[in-house]
Amino acid sequence: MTTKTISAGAIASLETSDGGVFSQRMTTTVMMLLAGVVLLFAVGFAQGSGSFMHNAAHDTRHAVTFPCH
Amino acid sequence: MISRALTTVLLSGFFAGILMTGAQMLRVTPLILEAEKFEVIEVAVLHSHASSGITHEHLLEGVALDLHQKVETVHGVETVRHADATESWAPGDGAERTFYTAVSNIVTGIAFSLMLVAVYLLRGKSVDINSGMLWGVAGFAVFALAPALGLSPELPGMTAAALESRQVWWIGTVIATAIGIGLFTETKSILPKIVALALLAAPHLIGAPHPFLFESNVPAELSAQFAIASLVTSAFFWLVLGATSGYLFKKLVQETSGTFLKTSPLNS
Repeated sequence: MTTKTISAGAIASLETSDGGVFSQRMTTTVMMLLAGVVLLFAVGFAQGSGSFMHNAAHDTRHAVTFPCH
Repeated sequence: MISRALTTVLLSGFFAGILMTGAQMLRVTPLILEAEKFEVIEVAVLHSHASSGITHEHLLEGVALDLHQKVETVHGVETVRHADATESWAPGDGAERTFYTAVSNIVTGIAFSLMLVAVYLLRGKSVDINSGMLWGVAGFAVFALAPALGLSPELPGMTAAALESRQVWWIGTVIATAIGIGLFTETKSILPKIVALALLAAPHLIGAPHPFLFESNVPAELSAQFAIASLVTSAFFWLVLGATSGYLFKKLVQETSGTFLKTSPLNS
């Protein structure tokens, strides 16, 4: 996914027609991917202080098949 | 466009998260609660190897701990102390626990929805409820099915390799599978498709980290039930997420901004 985003960004700079709309769309794409990764890390991997994050999201981690314990 | 795309993300993530919380209560949560009865407290064991003189610490529980204590003469165990497991906060069973699970399910829904909508935006082709569902299937393959092939869904109390090594394998598998599926579906010639297949196979050829000992305090029957229950629940979640995000993306983004679909790096 990441590789595709980077190559898409490279092609974006070559586009001339609808350039504004296009780059806005690619910016949104990249921002969304990054936000998704950050959120996923918080829910799936972060332990938090005193395992707060782990314990709160415990049952979700087991249900969505994240490595948990 | 950004605000409408975000609305799509938030609504579909919330909807899928709520439905998953309901679905989880049928099979997954009862099995987790059952397995926690077999979960033994984790103990930090400090020991030094006589031959090398290296001293280090293990966090052990269950069978591994029993075994370790049996061979203490060989290892030269110095101290055994309890980890601070009892001091950390955890939601109380019942309504509080369900509430936290629902919140983290919704956050998970939003996180995955962000990625699905990012893929829709990147492709720039039309999406509807049906094709959205197919992207949901792809998400299930990337985030649940491929990692589960190496690391079966775990119950509390099951023996497994070190958490960090499993997390690294999990993340690597997800990235390789995502790029593999993207490359396969978005290219037309044969060479990239072969590369895609290699990427899909690579994590499983390398192999997931597994514990030295495969013994567990949790009955095998429970583990088998849980593996199926969590995968089916996951599949349900992804189908709902894909269908909802596809439907909303069509209604909120596509049908209100016609121009943005014309330029895509993947259409040429």
